[in-house]
Order: sequence, then structure tokens, then C-alpha cells
Amino acid sequence: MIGLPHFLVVSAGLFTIGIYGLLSKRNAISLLMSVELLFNASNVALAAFARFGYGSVEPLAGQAFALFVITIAAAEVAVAIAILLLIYRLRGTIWVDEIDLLRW
Amino acid sequence: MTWVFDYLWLIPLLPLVAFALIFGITYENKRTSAWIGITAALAADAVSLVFLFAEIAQRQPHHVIKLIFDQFITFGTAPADFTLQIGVLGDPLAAMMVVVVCSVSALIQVYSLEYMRGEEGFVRFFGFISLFTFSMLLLVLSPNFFQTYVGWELVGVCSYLLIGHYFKRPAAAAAAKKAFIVTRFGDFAFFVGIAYIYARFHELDFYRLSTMWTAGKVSSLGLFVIAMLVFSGAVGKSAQFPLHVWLPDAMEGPTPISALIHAATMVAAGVYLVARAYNLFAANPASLAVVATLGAVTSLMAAIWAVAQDDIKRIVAYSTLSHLGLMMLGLGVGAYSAAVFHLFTHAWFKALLFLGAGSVIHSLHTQDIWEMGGLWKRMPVTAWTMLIGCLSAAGIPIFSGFFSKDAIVSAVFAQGNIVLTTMAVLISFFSAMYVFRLFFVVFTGEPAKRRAFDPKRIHENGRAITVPMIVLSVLAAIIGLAASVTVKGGFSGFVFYGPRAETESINYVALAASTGIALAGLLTASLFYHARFKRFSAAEFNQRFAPVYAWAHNKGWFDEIYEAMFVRGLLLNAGRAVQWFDTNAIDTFMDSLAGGYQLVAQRARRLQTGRVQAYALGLFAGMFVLVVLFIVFGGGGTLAAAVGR
Amino acid sequence: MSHSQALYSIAFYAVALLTLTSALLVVTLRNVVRAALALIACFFMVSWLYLLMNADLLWVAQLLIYAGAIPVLVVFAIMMTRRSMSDTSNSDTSNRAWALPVAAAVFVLLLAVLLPAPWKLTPWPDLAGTTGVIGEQLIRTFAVPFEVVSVLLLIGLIGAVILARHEETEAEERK
Repeated sequence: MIGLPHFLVVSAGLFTIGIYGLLSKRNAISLLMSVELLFNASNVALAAFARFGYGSVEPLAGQAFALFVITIAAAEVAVAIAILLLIYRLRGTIWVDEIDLLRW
Repeated sequence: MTWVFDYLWLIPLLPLVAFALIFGITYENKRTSAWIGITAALAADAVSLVFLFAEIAQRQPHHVIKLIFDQFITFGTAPADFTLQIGVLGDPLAAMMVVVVCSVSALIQVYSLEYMRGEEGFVRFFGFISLFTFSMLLLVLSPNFFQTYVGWELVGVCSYLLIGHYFKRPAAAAAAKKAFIVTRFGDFAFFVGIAYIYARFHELDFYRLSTMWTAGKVSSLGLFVIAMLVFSGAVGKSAQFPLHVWLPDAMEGPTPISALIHAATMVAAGVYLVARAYNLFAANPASLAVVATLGAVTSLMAAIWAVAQDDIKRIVAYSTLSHLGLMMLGLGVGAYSAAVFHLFTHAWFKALLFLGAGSVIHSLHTQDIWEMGGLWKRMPVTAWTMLIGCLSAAGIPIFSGFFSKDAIVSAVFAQGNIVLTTMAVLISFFSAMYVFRLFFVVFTGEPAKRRAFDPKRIHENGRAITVPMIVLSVLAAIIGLAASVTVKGGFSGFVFYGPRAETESINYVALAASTGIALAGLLTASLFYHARFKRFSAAEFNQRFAPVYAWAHNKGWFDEIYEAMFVRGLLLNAGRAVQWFDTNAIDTFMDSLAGGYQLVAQRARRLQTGRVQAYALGLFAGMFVLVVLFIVFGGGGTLAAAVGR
Repeated sequence: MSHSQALYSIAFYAVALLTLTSALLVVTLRNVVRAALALIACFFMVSWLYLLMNADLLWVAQLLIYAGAIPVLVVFAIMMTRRSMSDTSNSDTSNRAWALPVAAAVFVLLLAVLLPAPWKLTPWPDLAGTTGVIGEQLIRTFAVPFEVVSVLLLIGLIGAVILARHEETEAEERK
């Protein structure tokens, strides 16, 4: 009854919400959180494909892939926060609309 | 000696190589550059002399054509298509001219070693002289109209460059421009003529065309038109009326240039062209009449004007105009050999007169004859050589000018046209008169009193200046006699048109008459201007005939008329129109183009907000658009294949 | 529909709803601390989604890392950037007007592509657990990415430390 499309809808929804957050929030940390949502969305999709298309490529390749994504996302968050802290130290702000040195 | 015909191409090549060397390699070194130019001219002269003797030794009339570039420019592949050739033509006329060009070029370059010492642009001067020599030789050795035109334009450019040698002086720059523009009118008509010839005859080679003129491809009216168009080129280059106005102004250039270009060679190119294409003119008697009339009118007017000029170079310039007109007159009445012979002798004595004038100018630092005087004792070499030059120019017997001028005047007598004959008589009279006016004013009496110039400073010039003058004076003295005696049948046995004259028919009456007229002129001049023997006052005479004097002194006001008619009217307004177009149309277009870019840039740069979020927005929106496009316009199949199979 | 299937459906819809709701809260709450808490909730729910897909290793990994480690980092970051403690620390930008249409467009596009696509589905074998299979995959097929990821983690670690060092430390080192 619950099949692949359902999970894909959830994934699409998460992705969309992530995009919305990415584009509309001022706080840099919120952007980071939105990006995590994006990662999760793709992970859900990957796991769903692994579940419903078992054996199409390697068995459970999607889940292994998702595992890698989790790992990398963790590393990425660490580095991103380090950069964020640096910017905060230098600029005194974390509002992304105030960090615009490359502006015309 | 006939081996020389295979090496004729060396003659123009040597000065060209000198030009390249001077501008390319030795530009920094004055002495080397000058000597390269001189050596090239001398080497070319040597080959030319061998060429001349080879031609003299020929028994039968003959010509040799060696093509260097058989198909210099071609369109199409069939033989009937468009072909232009470059080559060398070896015949007596060419041989004679080539010797003149190379010799005078070499002599004035030696002269310039001292004359131009310390002057600005010394090396440039020599380089351009070599270029000019090459161009003139290209023109003279040309076997067809095309190459003649190429040489024609090249000498025009060189003339411009050399007249405007002191280009920082506005007068010199203006004179160079004037020379170029005025001759342009003639050159343009010449080009139209060449195009017409090619269109009708499909041939530009002189010798091949010589039989084709009357073959019926063109009506006699057409032949007249062609002849007039070609003659227009000659009118421009040889400064005949109405295109004569550039020659006196060309005196702004250094004196050696005046000697080379505006006496011996370039201005002779017009006469040379008519001589080369004489078949064309002979085919239509009306054109010969035009040539003769125009020549006579120019010659007489110039001779009268020369009597009323005070600038030494201007006097000699008008003399050149007058003699060129005389040559045209000779050609027009059918005295081909005489006219060409006069071209030959005129080169020597006119160059000599210019170099002498230059010597005087170099010593006294003035060009006004009334500031000179008394140079006979103080500058002996110049004085003697100038005397010989003046005697030759006036046509006094034994000197070379006499032989050639007398031949022309005899021919005019023989023609029987009263008007032309009268004009020829007057021309002879005035020729003698103005040249000896110059001589007496400059060389007799005492130096004129001038502020800030001590007469004791006047001295003869160095060897570099005097030796060429001596050489030229020897030639001016004896060449006439030599040519008549050494070549069988005289000069008319060497260069001629139509049946060869086996013996010279000498009209003793005409001989005596023209000698008498010349002597009359000399006498008149001495009566007015010789410091010791003068009886009449020139100033009083000029006042009595004031309108005539005014007309002569102002050169007929032609400059003023042309200025008002053409320069103000046409050129200025054309210039204004072009300027309006440039400012309003072109500048506006460019400005709006630039302004448009600026506008777009100003708007577009607002996209660079520097904020990452805005970029992310653009990214996703763009991605969306791209994917949609991909799906709609053909990517759907790929997508289906990727997931479905 | 069998009993287990019905239960399964209810569970799925509940989890899915909670996931999406908490995600929405993450992006709409004005207070960033509260948004971080919503994030934890979202990740938690996603881990249950994994379990519903028989992905037990992922379920645990998600709980450990995503619902455990990462929110800790996020909270740390919030704490260190003190200004964001205020009530409007997670406000919206002026881009908001554009964000909604773009996001909606992307959503529609995704659905339009994913749903009609003819996926080739295969039945799920009755595995004891996915851990063994994934382990085998990591050692065999994905050996190189596995090693590379470990290097990447090392680099990330070093990089984060270098970037976030205090300036006084650098100044001291220069003396």
C-alpha cells in the first residue's frame, strides 16, 4: 500500500521546505539548518530507492550512499560553524544580508 | 653590350634597396645612409650608361621588353581575363631618361651632403630621395600604362614627402598638400583614361597598343577623349595650365629636391608620358592641337611671370614651367625628337640653375634677389657655372639649350600657325630675358646692404656643392653639340617618331632668327638690370605698365581664383559637411552605443548584491527553468530512458 | 488491506506528517533556539522514516549523528553568536516574496517528474538486518569512497580547528 511514491513525496516536501528556508532566512545558522534539511531529503529518497529497487545496482547501495552523506554532512556542519564563528568575530554579525562585501 | 638588356631590372632595384637599407638598418648613421643613397644612384647610373651606349650602338629601331612579373595581378584564368604586368622596357627613349634620372639623383645627393648638413631629418631626406629615384625609374622603364601609373603615384607621394620635408613649417606642409591635391585631379583623369583603354582594347602595353589605336575599336571621338584623359595626367604632373599652381609653392622644399624633382625628373614625367603614348596622340590631330596650345599658353604666361618675380627659386620654377610648356608645344606640332631632346638638355641646365640658386642661398641665407648682388667676384665657381646654365637656358648657340630649343622653334615656324609662331618668338625672348635678369641682379654690382649680414662673410661653398655644379655645367655646355655630332643623324636619329631622319635638315633662317631673339632678350636684360651697363630703370618701367606688372607679379592671381572657387567653395564646405557627419552621426552613434552599455551595466550590476542568499535564489530559479526546458524540449526521452528502459 | 498493512500506513502517515511539520517549524519560527529544537524533532522523525523502510543501520546512524551530534553543534554556534538569543533572531529576509514561488515551483517540478516516472521496482528480500549487507558494501564496492571519507573527516577536523582558533593564539605564536 505504501510504496515508493509516498516516500518520494516526503522527500520532495522536505527538499522544498529546505529550499524555502535557505532562501528566506536571515540568520546564518538557520541557513545551515535548512541545508541539513536538504541533506535529509536526499537521504530519504536514496533509502527509499534502496528499499524499493533492491538489487537494481548493488544491493542496498542507496543506503550505503546515504550513510556517506550523513558522514559528510557532519564534517560539513563542523567546518561551516567554524567559518560562521570566524565571520561573526570579524564582522560582528550573522545576518547574511549584512555580509555583502562582494557587492557592486 | 647587349647583355645589359638582361640586367635592366637592376636599375630601379638598386635605389629601392638603398631606401630599404637606409630606413631599415642605417637610420641612426647619417654618413652611411647618405653614402648608401649616393652609391646606389651611381651604380644605377653606371648600368644606365651601358644601356644608353648599347642603344646608341643599335642600327635598327628596336625595343626590348623583359617582364619581371608576368602576372602581377590577375583575375580569372583564361588569357582573355584581367592581367597586369610589371617589367622593364628597353628602348632609346627609356635609355635617355634613365641616364638623366640616375645622374641627377647622384649629383644632388652629393650636393646635399653639404647643403643639408646639420639640417633636420638628414637621413630621412636621403631615404626618400632613393625611394623617389626608384619610383621614377619604375615609371620610366615601364612597358605598359599600369606600371606607369604605379610609378606615377609613387613619385607623387615622394614629391609630397620631400616638399614637406620641413613639415613643421606650416608653409611647407601646405605646399606639399597643394602639390598632391592639385596633381590628384590630373591623376584621377589619367586613371579613368587607363581604365577606358583597358575596357576598349583589353591591352595596356605601349608597343602592342601602338598598332591598335586606329584599328577601329574606338571612334575618333573616343580616341580624343582617351588622349585628353591621359594628357590630364601630364597636365597635372608637368604643371601645365590650369594645374600649374603647385609648382611654385613646391619651392618650400629643400633646393636639391627642387633640382631633382621639379626640374629634371618628376615634372618631366608628363612630357615623357605624352612621348611614350605618342601614337595615341598622333592618331587624333585634334588632341595634338590641344597639347600644343596648352603648352604654348603655359610657356608664355610662365615666362612673363618669371620676369616679375623676386624670389630666386620662384624665378627658376617659372622657368621650368615655361620650358615644360615649350616641350609640350614641340610635341604638339609634331617635333617629337626636338621636344624629347629639349627634355634631355633641360634636365641638365635646369638642375644646374637650381643648384646654383641653392649655393647662393646657402651662402647668403636669403632668397630675395634684391638682397643679393656682387657675387661674381665672391663666388666664382657658382658664378661661372650659373653663367653657363643661363646661356644654355636662354638658347644661346653652342650651348646645349640652343640645339633643342632651336629645333622646337623651327618646327613651330614650319607648322605655319601664326599664333603659335608669335607665341614661340615671345617665349624665346622672355626666356632669355628672365634668366639674365636673374644673373645680372644676383652676380653683378655690389652686394645689397642688409641688416645683420656682413658682405665679407660671402664665400664660395665647399667641394660637395661645387663639384656637382661643375659637372652639370660641363654637360649643359657640350651635350647638345656632342649629341648632334656623335650620334648618326643627331638626336633625331636616336629618338624619333615615324620615319627616321637620316640627316638633320637645318633651317638656317630659323637658326639665325632664334639666336637673334635670344640675344635680344639678353640685351634687354642687361639694359635694365646689369649693374654697370644699365640704361633704363626697371622700377619706372614697372610703374608705367602697372596693371601688367601686377598681373605678372601676382602670377595671374590663379592662386587666389582657385582658392575662392575651389578651396573655399568646395573643399571647405565639403569639410564642414564631413565634420557635421562625424560629430553628429558617428559620434552620436558611438556615444549611444557606449551609453547603452553603460546603462545596461549599471542596471545589471545590481544583481551583484554580494549576498549569498540572493545567489542561491538565482541558482534554484535557474535550475528550475533549465530542467523545465530540458523536459519540454527533448530531454523527456532521456529521462524516461534513464528510469524506465 | 491487512491489519499490519493498515498499521503500517497509519504509522507512515503520522511520521511523515510530523516530519514535515517540524521541518516547517524550522524554517518559520522566529526564534532560532526554538528552530533548533524543531530541527531535532525533524531529524528524529526522519529516523523513524528510515525504520519504516527497513533501514535499521540508517535509523541508528541518523539518531546518533543527526539527532545527536549535529544539533549540539548548532546549539553551540547559537550560544557563541550571542545576538541570536533574541526573539527575532531568525527573522526573514526581503527575499521571502521570491522564496515561496521558487520553492513551490521546485516542489511541483519534483512531483511532476518523480511520480509519473515508471520505476522498475523489485521485491524486498527478507533480510535479517541491513547492517551486514551495508558493511559488505563498504568494504567491497565502496572501499575507495570509504577511505576518502575518512580522510575528509580528518581534513574537516583540522580545518575547523584552524579556522576557529582565537586570534590571541595566533598573535602569541608570532612573538
